[in-house]
Amino acid sequence: MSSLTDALLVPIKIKNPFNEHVFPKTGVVYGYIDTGYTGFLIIPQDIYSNLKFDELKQYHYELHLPNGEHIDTRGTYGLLIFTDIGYEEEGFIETSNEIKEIILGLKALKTYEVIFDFCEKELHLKKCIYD
Amino acid sequence: MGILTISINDKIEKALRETAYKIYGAKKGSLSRALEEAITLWVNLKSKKITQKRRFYAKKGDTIVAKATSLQELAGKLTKLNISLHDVLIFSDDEDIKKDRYLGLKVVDRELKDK
Repeated sequence: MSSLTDALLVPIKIKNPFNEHVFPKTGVVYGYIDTGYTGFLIIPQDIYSNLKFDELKQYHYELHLPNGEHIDTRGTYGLLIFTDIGYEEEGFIETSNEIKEIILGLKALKTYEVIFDFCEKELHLKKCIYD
Repeated sequence: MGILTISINDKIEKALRETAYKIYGAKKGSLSRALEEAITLWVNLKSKKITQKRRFYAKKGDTIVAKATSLQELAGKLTKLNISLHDVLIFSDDEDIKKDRYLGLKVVDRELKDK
């Protein structure tokens, strides 16, 4: 359970399983849930470089924005850790010059029940029984 | 809500109660919540072992040099094979990462509303 303030934030860690680098090294970082993002996880370039995802061969794609424009991204596979509940998810992690926040997409949440309880100001994540 | 009547080892019961109360507080529902989480973990673990579908691959040029059921396992295999990470492309067989790539809220029927 996370506290629900002005944004849909989830405490996470990000890991590059190919070199064991973890971000952040201690504590957690908060990722925004964006239900309009169809991918898994997109992170700022400095975090991407910090985790040395650049060492792996990169995929290059475009992400379409609501205004009809697109941004160029590059990415590879990595791990997302939901620290509150102790689950790890494997997925495509990407980055772009334009991205200044850590954004969790629908693919990161596809095996979870997510409850935004604005009355109690709590965000609940629960793993689906079958995923 | 289902109701289960079960018998478990005293030590496990003690540990379960202590941990549940520590995490969820000594209030009604704490034990059920902890048990539900524990059962979910177990079911996930066991069902995954039976129906593990996802596979990750490392491709060097046109050749698949390693495959595994997790990224950690794949990383281990690449290390053992002494293959440089710069040379391999990682991919998974259960998703199309090229398909439907959007970021931000979409207004799909904006044109209709504007008219």
